Amino acid sequence: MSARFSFSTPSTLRLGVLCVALLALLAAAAGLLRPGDPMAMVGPRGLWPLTDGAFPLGTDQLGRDVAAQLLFGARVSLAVGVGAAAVATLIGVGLGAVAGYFGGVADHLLSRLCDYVQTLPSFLLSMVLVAVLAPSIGSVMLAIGLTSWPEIARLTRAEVLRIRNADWVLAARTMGLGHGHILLNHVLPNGIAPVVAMIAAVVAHAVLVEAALAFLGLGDPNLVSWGAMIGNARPLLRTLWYLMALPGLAIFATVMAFTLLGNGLSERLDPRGAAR
Amino acid sequence: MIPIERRSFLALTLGASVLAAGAGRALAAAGPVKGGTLIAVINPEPPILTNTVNNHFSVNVVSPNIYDGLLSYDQQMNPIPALAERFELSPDKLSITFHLRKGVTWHDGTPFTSRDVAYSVLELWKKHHPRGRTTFGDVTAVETPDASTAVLRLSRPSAIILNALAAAESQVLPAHLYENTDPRTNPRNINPVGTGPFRFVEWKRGEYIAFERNPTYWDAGKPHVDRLIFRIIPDAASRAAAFETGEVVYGPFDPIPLADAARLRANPELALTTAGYQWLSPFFTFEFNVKSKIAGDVRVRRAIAHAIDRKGLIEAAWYGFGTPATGPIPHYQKAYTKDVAGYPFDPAAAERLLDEAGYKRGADGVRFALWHDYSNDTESQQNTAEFLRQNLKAVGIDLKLRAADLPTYYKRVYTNYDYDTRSGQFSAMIDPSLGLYRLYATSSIAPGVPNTNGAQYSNPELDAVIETALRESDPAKRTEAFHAWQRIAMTDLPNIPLFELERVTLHSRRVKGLEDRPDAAFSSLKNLWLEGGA
Repeated sequence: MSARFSFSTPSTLRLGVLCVALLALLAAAAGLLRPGDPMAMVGPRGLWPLTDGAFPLGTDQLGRDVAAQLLFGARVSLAVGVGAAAVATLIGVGLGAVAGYFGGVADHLLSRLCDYVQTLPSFLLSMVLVAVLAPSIGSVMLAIGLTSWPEIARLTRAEVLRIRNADWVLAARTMGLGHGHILLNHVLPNGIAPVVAMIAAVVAHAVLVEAALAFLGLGDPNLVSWGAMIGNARPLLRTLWYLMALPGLAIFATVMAFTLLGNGLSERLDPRGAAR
Repeated sequence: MIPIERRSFLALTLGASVLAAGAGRALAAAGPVKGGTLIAVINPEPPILTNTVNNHFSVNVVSPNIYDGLLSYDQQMNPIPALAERFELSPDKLSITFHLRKGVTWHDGTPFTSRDVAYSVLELWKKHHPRGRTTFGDVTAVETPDASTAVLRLSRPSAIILNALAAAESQVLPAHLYENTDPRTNPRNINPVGTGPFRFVEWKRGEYIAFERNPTYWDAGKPHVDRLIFRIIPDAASRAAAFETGEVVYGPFDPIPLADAARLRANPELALTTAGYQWLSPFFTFEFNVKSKIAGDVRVRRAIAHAIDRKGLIEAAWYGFGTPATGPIPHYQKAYTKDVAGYPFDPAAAERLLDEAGYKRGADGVRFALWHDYSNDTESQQNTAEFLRQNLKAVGIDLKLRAADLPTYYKRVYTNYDYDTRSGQFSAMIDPSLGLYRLYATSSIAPGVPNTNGAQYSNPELDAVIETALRESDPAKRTEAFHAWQRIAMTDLPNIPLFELERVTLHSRRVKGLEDRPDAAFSSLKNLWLEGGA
C-alpha cells in the first residue's frame, strides 16, 4: 500500500491516528499509572472527582478507584473492538473475496447468506450468542464479530468484482497461477484499501456494542468494563452522576477516535479524495 | 382498640406536658379521619389476587385487603382473632377447634360459614398453596358440626399450623365460588370476592388495581379510607418521583432504589420504615455446594466465613439496610440464640485455616479458584458479588463470578448442582421451621425445585432436630430444638448467613395508623387513615 504520512495527510486521519494512539498508550500503561487491582476496594465510598489527590477521578459506590477502572476498562474495550473486528474481517474478507472472484453459484449463495445475516437484528443476535456461550471476553468478541461481517463482505466482493478482470489479473491467469495465489497476491492487495477504512468503523461499532452488552449485565463480570460501570451506577444517577458520566465520556472518545480514523482512512485512500 | 400510632402518641404526651398549643394540635390530629383515597404502589404487578396458588410477595401485599385469615398475630407472634374468634387445642393435640365469627358475609352477600373453612383447608391450602402442602399435610379431615365451628383433625401433632393462619399465608376463600372448579384457573382469582376490609372494583392491567371500602366489614369502623388504589409503576425512578410529588403515599417492599433511600429519607413529607417484615425474616446467605471438591471441606467454608467483611458489605452494597447475622434465624425472633460458633471478620484467621487445610498460596498468590453463581437482577446483588470477590481475593481465593438470569441460575444450582458457591436472599419465616427446613433438611435435596437444599447438605443429627421443631408442641423443647438447629448449622456451615435483610416501606407522613407488627407489610391496610382526609 502506498499510504504514507506527510503534511498533506488529511487532518481527520491525523486526529484519528493521534486519538487511537493515545488510547492504546493509556491502555498499555494502565498498570503503571494505577498499579494494583483496579477492582480492589481501596478508598472511601462515593468520593467525588477532584476532591482527593489519591483518587483524581473519585471512587465508586464500593470504594474502587474510578481512574484505575477507566484505564483498565480501556484495555477491555480495545481488546474487544480489535478482536471483534479481526473476526469480522476474517469472515467478511474471506467470503467476500471468494464470492467476488468466482462469481456464479458461489457468489449467489454467499450474497444470500449476507442478506440473511443482515436481516437479523444484530444486537439481539449478539445478546443471544453471549447468553448462550456464557459471558466472557472471548464470547463477546465472537458474538460481535459474527454479527458485523456482512458489511465487510459486501465491500470486499464489490472491490474484487472490479479488479478480477483487470489486465494484470488476466495476465496472471494466463501464466497459469492458481486461484489462491492470484486472489492473495494480485486481487486483494489492490482492493483492500476501502475495506481497511471499513474495519476501523467496525472497531468503533464493536466498542459500542460491548458497552451495551456489559450495561445489560452480559459482559465478563471478572473484568472492568465501561458499559458495566454505567450499568452498575444506574440507580445512583441522582446522587453520584459522575459514575455514569465518566465511563460514558470514555466510550464517546473511543468511538469518536475510531470513527475519525475510519473516515480519515477512506478520505486518504479514496482516489478521488486524494486528487482533491 | 384505638389505633394511635406510637410516634404520634408520644408526640401527644410530650406536647401536652410542654406546650398547651402543641397539645391542642396533637389532640385534634389524634383520632383516625374517615374517608379519602389511599394510593399505594406495588412492584411488580401481582399476577393474580389470591396467594392460594401463587405466594409471590406482590400477591401477599395486595390480597389480604380482600381476604381474611382465621387468625392474625401480635408483636410477639401470639394469635389474635380474625375470622376465628377463638380456638381450642385438644389434650392429645390431634384436633383444633375454631369458633368462627358470626354474621360475616362475603362481598357478594353470601354468609361466611364453616363450609368455607373446610373447603379452604382441604381443597385449597393443603393441595395448592406452595408452603401449605407441608404446613397442612397432616390434616386428615375438617368437621363442621355447625355453621360457626370447624374442627381440624390431625394425623400427628403439628407445631406450625397455628403459626400459619394469617391472611398473608392462608386465606379463606369462598367455597360457593371455588367448589368444582380448578382453583388455579378460577376466574375469581382476578375478580375476587372475599370477606376482607376492601371490595374489589377494577383491575386495569399495567395501570392500577382499585378497591372500595367494605361497609359491612366485621371489624366495625374499619377500614378508615373509602377507596384503596394500588398503582403499577414498573420504573423505579418514576416510583421515587411519584412519592416526591405526593401522587403515591404508601409503598412496601423497597418501592424505591436503595440508593435513593437517603435522599428520600431527608424529604420532610416522607417517612421510611423497615418494620413489618419479620414475618418473612429475610436474610442474605452465601451457600456452598458441599459435594464439590474444595467447598466440601468445612475448613475452607469456615475460612471464607472469616474472610467476609459483613459490615462493609451492608454499607457498600445495601446502603446500610441490614444487620450482620450470626445464624440463619434473625436476632429478633424468639427462637434465636447467639450461642453458636462465630466467624468474626479476620482475614489472618482465614489464611491460617486455609494453610491448615493444605491450600497454600501459589506463586501468583492464589490458593484456588471457586465459581460463584448469582442472579444479577438487582444492582445490590451485583455489587455484593463484586464485594465478596475482593474480600476473598485478599486471602488468596479467586472467586470467579458467573452472573445469570434467574432461570439459568436456578437450573445450574437446583437442578444440575453444577456450581461451587452461590449467594442470594432466603426467607427463614417467622416460624423458622416453615422456611428453614428447605435449606437444611436432607429431604429438601429436591432436584429441580428452586430455593431448596442446593448445598446437598445432609446431617442425620440435624434432620432429627428439624423433625422435633416441626412436631414438638412443648414450646420449651421446641425452642431447644431451634437452638440446636442454629448450633449445628453454624458448625457445619453449609451456608454462611451473612446478614439479616431490611426491607423498606416508604410512605407519606400524611398516612397514619401504620403498625410495626411482624406481618404489617403483608397485612390489609384497614388501619391506615389519611391526615386531613380526602
